[in-house]
Amino acid sequence: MKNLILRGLFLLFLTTISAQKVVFEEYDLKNGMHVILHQNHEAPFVITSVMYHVGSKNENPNRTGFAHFFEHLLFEGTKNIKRKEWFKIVSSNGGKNNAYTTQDYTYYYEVFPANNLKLGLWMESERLLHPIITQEGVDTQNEVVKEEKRMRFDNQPYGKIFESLAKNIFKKHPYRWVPIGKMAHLDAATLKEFKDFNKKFYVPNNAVLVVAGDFKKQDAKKWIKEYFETIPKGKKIIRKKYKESPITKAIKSVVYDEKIQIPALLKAYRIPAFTERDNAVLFMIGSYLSDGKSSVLYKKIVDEKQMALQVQTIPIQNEEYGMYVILAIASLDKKLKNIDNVINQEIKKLQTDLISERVFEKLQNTFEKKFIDTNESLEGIATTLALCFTYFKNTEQINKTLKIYRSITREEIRAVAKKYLNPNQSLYLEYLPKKKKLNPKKEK
Amino acid sequence: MQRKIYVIVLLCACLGIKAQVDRSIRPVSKKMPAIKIPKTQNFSLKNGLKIIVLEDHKLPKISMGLILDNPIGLEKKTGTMEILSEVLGNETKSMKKEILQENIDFMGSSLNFSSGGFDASFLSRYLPEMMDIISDIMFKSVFSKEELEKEKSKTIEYLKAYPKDIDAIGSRLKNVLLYGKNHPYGVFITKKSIKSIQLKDLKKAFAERYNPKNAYLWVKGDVNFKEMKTLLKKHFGKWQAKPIKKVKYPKVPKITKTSIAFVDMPEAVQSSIAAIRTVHLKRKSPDYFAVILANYILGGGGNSRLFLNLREDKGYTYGSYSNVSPDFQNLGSFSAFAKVRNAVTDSATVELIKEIHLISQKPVSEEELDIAKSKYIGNFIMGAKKKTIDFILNTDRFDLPKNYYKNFIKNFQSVTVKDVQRAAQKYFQPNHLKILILGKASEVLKGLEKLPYPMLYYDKQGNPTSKSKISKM
Repeated sequence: MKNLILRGLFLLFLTTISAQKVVFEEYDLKNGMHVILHQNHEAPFVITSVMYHVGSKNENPNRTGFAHFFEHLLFEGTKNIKRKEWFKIVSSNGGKNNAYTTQDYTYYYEVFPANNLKLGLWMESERLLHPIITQEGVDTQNEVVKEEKRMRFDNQPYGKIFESLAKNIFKKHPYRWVPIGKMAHLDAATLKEFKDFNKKFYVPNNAVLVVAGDFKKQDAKKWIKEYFETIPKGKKIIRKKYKESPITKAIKSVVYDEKIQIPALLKAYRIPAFTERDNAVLFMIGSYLSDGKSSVLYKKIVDEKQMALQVQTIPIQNEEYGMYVILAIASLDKKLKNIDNVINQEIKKLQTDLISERVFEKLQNTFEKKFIDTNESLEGIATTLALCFTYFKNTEQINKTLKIYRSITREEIRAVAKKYLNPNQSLYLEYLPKKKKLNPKKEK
Repeated sequence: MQRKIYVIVLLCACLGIKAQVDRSIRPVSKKMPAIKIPKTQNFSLKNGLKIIVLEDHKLPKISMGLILDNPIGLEKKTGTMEILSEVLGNETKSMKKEILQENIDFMGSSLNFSSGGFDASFLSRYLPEMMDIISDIMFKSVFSKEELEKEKSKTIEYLKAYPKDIDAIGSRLKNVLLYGKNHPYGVFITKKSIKSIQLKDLKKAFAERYNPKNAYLWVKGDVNFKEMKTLLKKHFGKWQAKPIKKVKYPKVPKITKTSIAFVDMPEAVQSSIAAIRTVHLKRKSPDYFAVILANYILGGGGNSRLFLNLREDKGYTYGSYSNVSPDFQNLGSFSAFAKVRNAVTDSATVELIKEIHLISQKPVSEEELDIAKSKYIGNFIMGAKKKTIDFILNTDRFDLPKNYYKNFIKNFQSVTVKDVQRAAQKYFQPNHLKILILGKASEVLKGLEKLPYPMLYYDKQGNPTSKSKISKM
């Protein structure tokens, strides 16, 4: 095995220099819109995507769900694209499209065969310049979003997890609510409120356009200028800063879900912004805890003691804060408290002793592999480029990620575990099946 | 001189106006790019194993997979394959469990074995080590009673989650209704079947499944073909072929008349509706392209009829779609489905069935057909490079003509409106469907009973039951 390690290290050095650099060009339009171009001629398709720096954290607390609602509204048509035509234009030209919303941003994209770059740019510029927002569209999408909520959350086993975590970990920050929002807020919203939201956030100076794939730069630049540069700049967006007071006393909570049968334990901590170095260290710690069958929590909790059916560490990383979640789906009759004890013990070890050289190398390999996987698909690269610009204000960050992971030391892992993962900083949440009123034994 | 300058200025002004792009013109190009399919290198071993290698040095990683196309349904005890998938790859004669798993994780690799083969993905510098581990698992696996019992109890725990999970019950019921409980597609795991599994069942299942006959091994990524060939010969050359057992599958139930099959989900806030039937559709059938296009027009995407009607027009659902799966070892199936709020369960059912009728009765428009064709052709062109290995595999596994993918675009283009209607009539058959509905009986039954379909009731195990029993539950 020793040989293997040495050979590995040597090659590791080689691969860093070659292969994986993402080459791109970037510039600003006069209206403040940022443009990133990334060429790749391997397959004959091109991605046009726009990331708007608006997510659920930009919502008024009495109008939650707005950012996500726009992800629906902005397919309703524009001055030059009739209602219900968006998907038709995409399909009839051989393309595909989608969009999604997070707490921090909303992302729209089309993927077209290489001949239709201009079409993709036109569509995205139409959406930005003059979407048609009507009461009719609002009413239809209001119903659709309610169905989306039922399908994804209300009718889904464990569908309340995210919501329960968010409101316990955050008290002041808008991260305390979830992107899908409250339906009552959407019902109460007026057409004018929707239009105002659009005018405020869907402006070129709050967006980054990415073109990735098989295209000629001169074409792209010409068409981007024609379609996007004429779009008027919006007002400067003033972003409120919310500072949470540190969690100093463990929070305990219980949530019941009538859609489940097997209890779950959720252990969560508040972690710093995505852009902070500590976040990368925590990501690595998560892998140490529960990635693969050789990870400490899997070995102890799932395999040896059979206390849980599965255990996972999920770092939810956001622009201003994040949530660090350890989730265990319990085996029957095993007390959640006992699972919690094992988690605490393992974290304690991590805070006291250095992890072994061997485990440290495992993490290095794991993260190199993860990095390569993210950059394997062109869609993945396009998203990462947009994210690096939106979060870091530095697109070049895409090429620094692996270097950051490589520079993390065992000492740093111990220090970061000590800083963020203490019992008094944690949320202990029991996620339980609805209590049965009568005859609890009767199982179907 | 003055004059000349004047002219130039005027010219500039003109260009300026010209540069203002006319937004009302949709800048569409109809000339799709040529398709790029890289060349693979293929060969077979004497034992029958077929190997496909695709060199791609862009990233320092390798993906690899083994596909075992042996007949399904050989095992007597349902769940044997699922348990096999969990324990296979845990331990070998030369590596104890801890060591084996640590070795895989150490390299940052992923390696998943199942009853159907394996999937691996790893950094290319670890190729020799990974090949050693893979061949160790394939030829020196150890199955212990302890591991078996662990997985059995885990599986039994998971089963407890079933009754409240609308998707899990939905897919179980779909298979039972379409194929019957004795068919390998229709059987499902129960506590009893899991409990009955013994170590010898596991060993037998492994020996029967892992056979180089009808097996494919594909490799993609940062490899050198020559080296790879030597490695594969070294590791898989000794793999012994065995005769393949024949399995006789039970006949699937015939659907003589469209009816509603209802399952009560007392906690549901949304009903799951699916109009289903089995279809006899081979990939090499001349109908194949027409069926795929008919399905797209009905429910393949965001501009298909189901979506436009049930979502964009009525706001009943987040999405309504349909799909057709061609048959492979057994019959395929057709399904048109939506999840809708309790209050509109009956209306949504009506609309869903209406659309299936409509596409079978009336010719689709030329425009709809064009959109569907463009969608498939565009996606084919864009995805061809990524799917290179799939194309080779499909051609062999489904016995397709050699030039199948070469003619793929042409075959889509030649489908006519008439072909689509014929395909819809033959394969979707609105009068021979099961409408499977899972929902909250107390809120949705009343409306459903008014529809012109016989109502049949089922419990969550797929057994027929009666309305009176449901209302008591």
